[in-house]
Amino acid sequence: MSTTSIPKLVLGVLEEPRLLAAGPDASWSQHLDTFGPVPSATGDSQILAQWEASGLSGRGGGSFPTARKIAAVQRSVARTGKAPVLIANGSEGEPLSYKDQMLLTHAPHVVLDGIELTARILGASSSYLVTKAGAHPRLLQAMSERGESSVTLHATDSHFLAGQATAVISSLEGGPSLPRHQPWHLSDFGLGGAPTLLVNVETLAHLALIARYSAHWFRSAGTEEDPGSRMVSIHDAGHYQVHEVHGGSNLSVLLEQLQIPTKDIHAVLVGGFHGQFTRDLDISLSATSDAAQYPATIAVGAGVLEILRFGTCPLERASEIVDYLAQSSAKQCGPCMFGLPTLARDLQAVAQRSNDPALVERIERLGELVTGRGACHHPDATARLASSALHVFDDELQAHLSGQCLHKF
Amino acid sequence: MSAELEIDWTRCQGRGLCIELLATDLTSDPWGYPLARRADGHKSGTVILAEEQLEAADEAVKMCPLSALKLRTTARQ
Repeated sequence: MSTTSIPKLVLGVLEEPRLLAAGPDASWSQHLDTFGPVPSATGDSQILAQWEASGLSGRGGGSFPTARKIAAVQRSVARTGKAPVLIANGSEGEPLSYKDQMLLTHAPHVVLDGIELTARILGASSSYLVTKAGAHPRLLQAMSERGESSVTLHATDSHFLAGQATAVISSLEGGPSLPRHQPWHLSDFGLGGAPTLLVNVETLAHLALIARYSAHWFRSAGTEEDPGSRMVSIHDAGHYQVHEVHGGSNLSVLLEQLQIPTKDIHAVLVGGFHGQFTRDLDISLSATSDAAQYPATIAVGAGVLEILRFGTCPLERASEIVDYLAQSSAKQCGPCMFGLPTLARDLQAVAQRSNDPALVERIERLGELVTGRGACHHPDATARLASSALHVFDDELQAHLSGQCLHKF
Repeated sequence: MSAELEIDWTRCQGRGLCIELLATDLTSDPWGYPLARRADGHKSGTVILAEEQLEAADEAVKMCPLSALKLRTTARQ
């Protein structure tokens, strides 16, 4: 039997909810009935080992291994003797993402458990929960149900870049919610110079459940490359839905299970405005973005999927998004401030069927020009999205350059 | 020794002194901001410099009117 005969694992929507197992709008008592209390401190070293064995990766978009992030903070604490700080990031600046908001509304106690546990294990001197102000009433209610809480709620702006790690730190320090120049790691020098662990709220929720049910349980969902479950926000023709799905889910299986008609789907934007397009639906949504090692996977980022159907010109949609991203620039770094509007204008010319043959090369060159030249990765990701559109929609591009559009008759 | 020029892009306003002092490694982008001449010269906000440029780089760091530059040197393994 050759190795290729191993049946492909086809995963989609989670059979039983995990993060949302206590039901919608779960109260403290419903939460306790479902999950039981936070594990006691006597098992903290085992919990750390379980977190590491789980293979959990960050759910805020970067997909960095969470256990490694935690270990870096612990090393920094051991080296400097400074007390660490924990920041739970629920800023969710991505306009198409709703999953953090859903989690904070319906399962706030799972997130708060994750904060409590992680802060305890790290020995954090303080913990912050950063969200849009709209989420605060529900969180305050949840915190009062739990009794004494050492978490400080902080309201962040709702613009696109407000959720970037250094923008969150800046906001917590009383500055603007804008990315800043930060050549060192937050684990070494974060909030007020303290070793800082900044993780997405969904990541913390997973940590809370792994601590209770083990790494083995966590890995019983998802794939080897992308273990566990994850939340996704799916957009289809102005409607959105949030679901908990298997890591490494197959996109077409997922859509079928959710009864989203696939017949006239032209492409899907995976990973939100900092993501990329795919026309191939037989592809795995994964934490990994290594296309060379895993050719049939696409980086799921923070779990945003936007469905593009026939009749909507994908180049027009890409142009709208890049325009939004150019306007979302913090306008602090020259290459981003000047480069992105130029890039957006050129892509708009493509979308409007300009026949200038130099446009495509100019867009690619501008993309290379802004990449790696800013305080954050906004220019890099914007360039990647524009480039992804030109490559994936090559047929549309050729039609546009000759004054036609395959989606408009 | 290898050296990287760290640019604080939030401070840089493209005055161009570093471009003049480090002309072999840097050029100007269309908006006047420093751009590595080498295609792979930019690595998350820094510019990799040739070894013999250390002195000029040190000068650029001191002369930058917006204090947007820092020199990072690491001993080669």
